[in-house]
Amino acid sequence: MTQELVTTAEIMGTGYSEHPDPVLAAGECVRAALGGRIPSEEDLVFVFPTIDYEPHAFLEAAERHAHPARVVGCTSFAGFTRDKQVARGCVATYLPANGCSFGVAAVDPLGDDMFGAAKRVAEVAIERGGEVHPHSVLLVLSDGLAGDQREIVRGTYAVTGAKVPLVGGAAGENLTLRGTYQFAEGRVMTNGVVAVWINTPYRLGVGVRHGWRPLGRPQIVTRASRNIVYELDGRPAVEAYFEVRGAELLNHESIGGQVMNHPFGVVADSGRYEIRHIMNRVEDGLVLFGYVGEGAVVRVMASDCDDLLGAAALAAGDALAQLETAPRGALVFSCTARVPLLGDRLPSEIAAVSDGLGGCPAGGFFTLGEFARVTGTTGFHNATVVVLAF
Amino acid sequence: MPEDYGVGDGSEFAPAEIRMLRARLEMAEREAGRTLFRATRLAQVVKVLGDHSELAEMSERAVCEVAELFSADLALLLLGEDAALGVEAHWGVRPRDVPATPVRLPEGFAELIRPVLIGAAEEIGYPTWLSSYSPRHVAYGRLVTRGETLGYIMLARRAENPFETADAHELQALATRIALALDNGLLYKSMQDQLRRMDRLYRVTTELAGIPHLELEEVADAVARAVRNEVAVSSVALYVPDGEDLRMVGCAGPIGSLPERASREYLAGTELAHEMLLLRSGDPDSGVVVVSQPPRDGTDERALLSHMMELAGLVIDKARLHDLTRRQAERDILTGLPNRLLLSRRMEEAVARAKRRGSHVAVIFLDLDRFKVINDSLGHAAGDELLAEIAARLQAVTRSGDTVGRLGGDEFVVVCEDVEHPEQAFAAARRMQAMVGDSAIDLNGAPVSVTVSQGIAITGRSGYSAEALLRDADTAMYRAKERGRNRIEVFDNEFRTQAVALLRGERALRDALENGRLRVLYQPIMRLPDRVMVAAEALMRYEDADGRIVSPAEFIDVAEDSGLIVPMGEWILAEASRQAARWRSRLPAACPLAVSVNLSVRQLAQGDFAEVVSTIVADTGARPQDLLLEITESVLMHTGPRMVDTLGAIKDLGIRIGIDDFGTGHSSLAYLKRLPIDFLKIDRSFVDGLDDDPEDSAIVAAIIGLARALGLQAVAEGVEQEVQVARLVELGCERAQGFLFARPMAAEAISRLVEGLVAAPAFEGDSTSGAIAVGLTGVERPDSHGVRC
Repeated sequence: MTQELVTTAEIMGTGYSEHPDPVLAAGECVRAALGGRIPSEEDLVFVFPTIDYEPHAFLEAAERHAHPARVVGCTSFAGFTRDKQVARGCVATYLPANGCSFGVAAVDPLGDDMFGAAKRVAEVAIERGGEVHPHSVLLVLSDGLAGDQREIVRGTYAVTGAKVPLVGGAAGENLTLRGTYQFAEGRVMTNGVVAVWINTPYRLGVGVRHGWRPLGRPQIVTRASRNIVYELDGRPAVEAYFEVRGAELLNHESIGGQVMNHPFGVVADSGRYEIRHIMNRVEDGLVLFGYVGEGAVVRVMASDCDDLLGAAALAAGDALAQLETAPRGALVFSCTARVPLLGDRLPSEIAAVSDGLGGCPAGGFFTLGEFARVTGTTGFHNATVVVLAF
Repeated sequence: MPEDYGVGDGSEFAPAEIRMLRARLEMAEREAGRTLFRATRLAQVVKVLGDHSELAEMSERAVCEVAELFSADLALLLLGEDAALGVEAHWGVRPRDVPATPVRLPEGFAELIRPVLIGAAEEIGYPTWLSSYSPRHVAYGRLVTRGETLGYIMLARRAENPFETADAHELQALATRIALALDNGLLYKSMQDQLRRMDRLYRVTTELAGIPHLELEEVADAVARAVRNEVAVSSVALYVPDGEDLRMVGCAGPIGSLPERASREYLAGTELAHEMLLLRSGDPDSGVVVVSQPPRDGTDERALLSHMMELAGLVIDKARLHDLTRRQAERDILTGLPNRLLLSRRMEEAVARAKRRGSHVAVIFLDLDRFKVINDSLGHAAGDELLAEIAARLQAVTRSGDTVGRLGGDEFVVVCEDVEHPEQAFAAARRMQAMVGDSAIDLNGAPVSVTVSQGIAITGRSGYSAEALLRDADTAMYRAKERGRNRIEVFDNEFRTQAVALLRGERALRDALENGRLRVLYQPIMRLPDRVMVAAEALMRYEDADGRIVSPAEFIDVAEDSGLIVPMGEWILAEASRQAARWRSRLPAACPLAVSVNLSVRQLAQGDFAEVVSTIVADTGARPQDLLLEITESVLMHTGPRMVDTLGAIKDLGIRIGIDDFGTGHSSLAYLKRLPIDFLKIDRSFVDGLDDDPEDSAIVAAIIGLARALGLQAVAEGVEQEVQVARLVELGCERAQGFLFARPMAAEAISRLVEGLVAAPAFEGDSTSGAIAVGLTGVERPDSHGVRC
C-alpha cells in the first residue's frame, strides 16, 4: 500500500440518526454523512435503517437530502458507524465518486428465480456503470429472507466472472422474520436485489473473516433440502446438533435464541469453514441461513469476543493489503449473529475495522448474511464480517 | 499430548506452548475436516449430477458445484475432439469472454495428458483466452467413458493454494462420474432429440395429411406454410405443372417477384428460387416447392423435408384430382364452356366485384332460333356439332375477361364485366348476332344458317343478384323471341314489373284452373231485324282465391304468355260443347242454340288441335253444327300451311269458323279466300261510330258488303244503341250482339230466356235449324268485345 494524501473531499462520510420519525431521521443521517459537502450525481449514498421506519417516507426523505446523488440501501438488524452503534435508527454513508463510476440496478421480485434475478441485476448494473476503469467490484444488497442466498452469488458470478470481487449483505430486520426492504432507483422493494457496480481506476480492498472455531466432532449431512438439514450422521438434525454441543434443548418451539452462539461451520476444501447460522427448526430439521448440500461435512462452531474482534481486524487487514492508496473509508457488513456474542464490546468490531484501515471512516449494518467472494469461496457467509475498503 | 511439550511438573503449560499446541490442534482439526470433506466431496457432486437429467442444465450445475467443492475460481466443461472443443459449460468466466467457435487445447497437451493433470497454470498451460483471469493453478480431468474421450473438465485457481494429489485422485474419480453422467445425458439428449424428431414428424404429418380443405390453392398455401415454418425459410412457393409450364398455386411469406407462371428452366435459373424441391407422389410430375433461401442445415431438416415432400405430394395430388373433378363438374362437356354451376359462381363473383368497384355487369342470354328444327331434321349429332361451333363463335367475339357459358340445350349466357353503358352490352350482343349468322355452318354437308335471340340484363343502380340478372336476361330473350327472333332485347324495369305481374297472375290463373274456379257466361247473339236469339258467345271468367270474379281484361295476356291459354281453351270448349248439347236436348229441335268459342293462336299451333276438337265434340255429345269457333284477325298473321290445314280439318268436322274483330288487323284479304271461313264479326270500334262517324259507317258497310260478296255472314259486336241497330239493319247486317240485347249471363239464365222463342236458322246455310241460333265465343278478347258485365 502506498500512503498518499487523502483530501477531505475524497473521504467517505458517515452519519446516523436515532430520531423516531423516518423523514427527520433520514434527513439527519444523510446530512451528517455528507458533512456539509454538496454531492454530485455521480456520487452514492448508502442508507441502512432499522426496520422501525415507514420505508417509503424514509427513502423519499433520504433521496431529497442526497440529491443529486443516488441512494441505495436496505433495512438492517442494526446499523453502525465508527462512532456509533444504532440499535434503532439509521446509518448513512456518503461515497464520493472520486473518479469511480457507480452503476445502480434493482430487480424484484426474486421469487423462485433468484439466480435469474441476480444475473439480470448484475448485467444492468454493469451496463449502467460501464467498464472504463481497470478495477471493479460488485456490491449486492438482497432480501435476507428470500431463500437460498447462494443463488444470488452464483447469478452475479455468472455475469461478472472470477476477476470481479463480490461484497454485500442480505437485508436484515429485528429477527421477527416478517420482511426486509431494499432501496434503489427510487423504489422500495420487499423481495428484491440491488446491485452497485463499482468501476474504479484504483484497486479496492475486500476482506472477509469470521473468527469461529470448531467444537466437537465433524458430522455429515445425510439428508437435506435446500437450506434445511434434516439429518446429521443419519440422525435427526436437532438431536444430533444438541448432542454435539453437549446442551439440552430448552425450548422445543423456538430455538433461535439457543443456537445463535453455536452456528454450523461447513468444511471447505481449503480446510476453512463457511459459517451457516441456524434460523429455526422444522420438526427435527434445522433451518439454516443458507444452503447446505447433502454430503457436506459440518461442525458445530464456537467463538468468543476476542476471536470475533480479532477476525474483524484481520478482515480489515486483508482489505488494506489490496489497496494501492490510503483508505478513504470502509463499508462493513457484519452478521447479526455476532451481536449477542460481542455484547458490550459490540462497538469494538467497527473500531477494529477502522483501526485496521488507519482510522478511516467506516459504517455499515448487521445483516442476515454476507456476500464476499474474492477467490476460492462460495461467496455467501454467515457470522462473518465483510469489509470493502476504498 | 506429546511429552516434550510438557514443562514444569507436567501439570501446566507455558503460554508459548499452549499457543503452539493450540495451533497444532487447529491444524489437526483442519486436516481432519479436509479429509472428511474430501471423502464426501465426490458424493456431493454425484448428488448434483443426479439431480439434473437435462444435459445443458446438468453441465452448468456440474461446473459450478465442482468449482465450489474444489475451491476453484474457474471451471470449464470442454466437449468434443481435442482439436475442436466446444465450451459446453463455464464457471467464473464472463460470457463475453467465451469463444463462440471451438477451442483447441494447448499445443501437445492432448498427447501428454493423463487421466488427470494438475499443476501450475504456466507449466501445464491453459487456453490463452483465459489469460486475463490470471489462473495460477490448473487441474484437468479427462472425461472418458467406454474407452472414448468425451472431453475435459478444467479447474483453475487464482489463489496461491495449489491443487494437491488428493485433489487429483478425486478429480479423476469425479471425471469418470461426470463422463458417465454426460454419456447418460447425451443418450438422454439423443432420446429427447429422437422424440422431438418424431414429435415434429408427427406434427408435420398430421398438419399436412389433415389439411381440412380440398381446394388446390388452399391446400397449396397450407403446404407452403408448413414448409416455411419447419425449415425456417422466409418464403415458399408451390408450383404445379400446367401445360408446358409450372403454375404457382400456393405460397407463404413474401414471394417477391416470383412469377405466377414460368417454365421449369426459368425457375431453376432464377436467383429468387434458392432451391426447388420435388413433390413426391404417384405422379412423377406432381409439382415443385420453391424455397427462397437455404433450408435450415442439418440431417434432420433434410429428412423432414423429404418426408414433407412425400406428404405434400399426396395431398397436392388429392387436391389436383379434386380440382380436376370440380373443373369437369363445372364445365359443359360438349363445348368445354362453363356450365350453369360455374356460370352462377362467375356471375356472383362478377356482381360482387361490380358492387365493390361501382361498375356494372351485363348478362346476355342467347337462345338459338329454330334449333329444335335442326336437331329434329338433321339429328342430335349435327345439333351437337352446331352447338360446339356456336360456342366457338361466341368465344371468338367476346372479350377475354367475359365469360361465355352454356346453360343447356341451345341456351348460352355471356357475362360481361365493367359495363359502363347498356350500349356496350348491346354492341357485344350485336357482335355475337353477326358472328353467329355470319356464315352458314356446314353440318354433314348441309349448310345451315342460324340466328340467335338475345336478352340483356344489366345490374341496376340498386344492384341485382346474379340469379335475378339471369332471370331478367332470360325474360328479355323471350321477348326477343316473341318479337320475331334474331332480335336483341334489353330488360328494363318496366319489363321487370310486367314480368313479376305476369308471374303472379299466372300463379293465380293456374290455381283457378287446377281448382275448378273457371266460369263461363254466355252473351246472346241476335238475329236482325227480328231480334231473335240464335246463338250465344261463351265468355270465360275465373274466380280468384278471394271469391272475386276476374274478367278477361285482367288475365288474357297472362294466359297467352304463360301458355295456360291452351288448357283453358280446351276447358271452355268442352264446357261450351256440353252446354250446347244440353240446350239441344232441352230446346225444341227446331230451335237449336249454337255456342261460339274463341280460339287462341296457341291452340291452333298445336299440331293435333283438330283431333282435340273432334274428341271434345264427341265426348260431350254435342253436334258439330252446334259449335262456332272464332279466331282473331291477328291469328291470320301467324297462319302457316299447317294452321290452314288445321282449320280445314275443323271445318271438315262440320264446325263453323268465323273471324273475330274483323277490320282491326292488317290481314290480307287473300286469307278470306284461302281459309274456310263462315262469318265475320265486325269490331265494336266501328259499330260505336255508326250513328255519327261516316268513316265507321262506311267501314261497317264495306265489311257487310265483303261478307255478302264472299258468302259469309256478318255479325256486329258491341251494339248498345237502337240507332246502331237501325243502321245495321239498313246496311243488311243479319246478326248482332251487345248490351242492348243482353249482357253475358249464366247458362241457366240463357235457358230461361230462350224458352218459348220461335226458332230461326242461326246462320245462313244451317240446314238443321230454323229456330234459335247462337254464336258463342269461348275466351273473349277484351279489346274486341262488349264484355263489361
